[in-house]
This record gives sequence, C-alpha cells and structure tokens, in this order.
Amino acid sequence: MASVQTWLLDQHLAALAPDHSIAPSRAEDAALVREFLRTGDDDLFGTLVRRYQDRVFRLALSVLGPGMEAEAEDLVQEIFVQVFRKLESFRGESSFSAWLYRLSYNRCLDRRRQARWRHPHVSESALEGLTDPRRHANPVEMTAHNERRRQLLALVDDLPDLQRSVILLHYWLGLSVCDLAGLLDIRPGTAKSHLFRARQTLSSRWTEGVGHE
Amino acid sequence: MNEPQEQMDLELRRLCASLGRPALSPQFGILLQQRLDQEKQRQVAVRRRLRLMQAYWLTICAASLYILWSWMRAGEPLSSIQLALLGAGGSLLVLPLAVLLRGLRLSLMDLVFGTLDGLHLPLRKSS
Repeated sequence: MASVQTWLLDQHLAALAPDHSIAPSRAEDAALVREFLRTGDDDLFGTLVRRYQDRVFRLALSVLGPGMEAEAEDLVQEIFVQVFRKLESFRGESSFSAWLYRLSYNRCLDRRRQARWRHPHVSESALEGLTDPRRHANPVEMTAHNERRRQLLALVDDLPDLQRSVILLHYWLGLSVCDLAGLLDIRPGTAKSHLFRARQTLSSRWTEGVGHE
Repeated sequence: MNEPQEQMDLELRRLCASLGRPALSPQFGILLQQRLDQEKQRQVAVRRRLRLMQAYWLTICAASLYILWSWMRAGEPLSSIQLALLGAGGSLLVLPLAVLLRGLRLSLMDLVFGTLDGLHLPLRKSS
C-alpha cells in the first residue's frame, strides 16, 4: 500500500517538477519522513534518496572540488546512511531539505579537511579533463595552457569555504544563484555577494600571479 | 560587472566548461543499498544488546530487592547464606561495570579521579 502511495507521489512530483532545479515541497518531504518513521518502509526512504541524491552530490563536489568525484560519491552514500540513522532526531522545525543540506555540508567540510591533509594540492586527475589536443597541437602551448588552468583551480581551491562552493556550484555545476542559495541555506542576495567577492578575490590574485611571472 | 570581474567570469566559464559535468555512477544505488542493509543489521544488533542489558538489570534489581527483603525478615544481616547472596549480587553488579569500563577503554582510577576533578581532566585511555 505504501509503495503504491510512494509511486503515486513520485508521479505527482514528476508531473509537477520535471526539472531537477525545482525543489520538492516542504510538506511532501515532511509527509514522507513521517510515514517512513511510522512504517519503516524502505521505498519511502528510497524516494527521499532519489529526490535529493543529485543535489547532495553537487554539494559534496562543490566542497571537495574537481577530481574528487569518486570520493564525493562515497561521501554521499555515507551521508544518506547517517540520515537513515539520525532521521528520528529530525523534529521538523526546519524543512527536511535544509536539515539534510546542513548535515551534508558539515560532513563534506569534515571530509575535505581529511582529504586536504592527504592531498594538499590540486590533484592530477582534476586536470585530466582540461587537455584538448585539437586546440593545442603544440606541446609547449598545451603545457602553458594546463599550467594556467592549474593555477586558476588552485586559486579557487584556496578560497574560503562558502565562496569556493558558490563558485563551483555556479560555474562548474551550472546552478542558478537561487538554486545554489537553497542548497547552501543562504539568501540569494548573500549568494550573489559571495559570488561577487569570490570573483574579486580570484581576479586580484590572478593578476598578482600573472604579474609575478 | 566591471572589467576584471568580467574577465574572471570568462576564465571561470572556460575552466569549468573543460571540466565537464560529473554525475553519479550507475552503481550508486546498489552500493548505497548495501550500506543501508549493513546499517539495519547493526541497529538490530544494538537493539538486541540493549534488550539483553535491560533484562539483566531488571533481574539484578529484583535480586537486590529480594536480598533486602530477606534481611529485613530474618533480622540477622550477616549470616553465612546471606553473605553468599551478597557476594553473588555484588559480583553481578560489578561485572557489567567492569565490562562497561573495558568497552569504553577507561581505567577505574581515571574514572574516580576524573569525577573528583569535576571531569575537567582528560581521561587517560588504558591500552
């Protein structure tokens, strides 16, 4: 019976929100959580996971950075196991999505600190996708191009946590300011301000770097 | 946006376009399900241990009450049978405490001194 309800709810949501950028409603999430805690039905938890897995994955990537996709995926699994464990402590004072994103963001920051300790620099794998041999037939030009990219990635990596996340969510993962503000649980105005400041910092550091060369 | 910001905007767009958009792997759901199954098994084991401990403590309480009631009825608290009962009851009480301390990797002295100091001292972990 619960599975049928879940299926109907999914169909309803699919009709309402074919685009992933549209967030599920607070009331639907609360109803799902309540029902899951009452029945313990795995399908209901599965629905919550499917609804949020991409967003949490993007959030994890925005904290861990390019080249850490496998680690981000592993982290998303850990986060959902933690959610499964802690869902009883969710009291519904904030929306489920805000609770989940906060828990995820904190968990991601913890992992980043550990990962940074293990990989203190921009990884080689992060640069794998950067090389385009058709555009840079000359190896010297290609090396210079990659070096330039590596410097920019390193500058992004050195930004404060929130600014780095905003930059990566917006430019890399293609989220609008409103969507990334929702994901980071901040106001759109604040997100815009972080975006502006991050670009400003990057621009000045980039100019300094170029000037030193 | 002013000019340096626009330039940086362009640089970031170029950089991120070359990085590509990552997506979750197809195995994500399967691996997550395995982890969730493990978590469920762990929770079942924890609940079972908890129930066992509850039953254990209820038995201890009932035994203690029975000993106290026997003393009050007999009026002679230190007879040999009652001493044996006291010893058995005491062991039953101390044993779980020892198991608990061992589980927490705490020595008894650390616990005593830590309590006296208002638990401000970091507890030394026994090897």
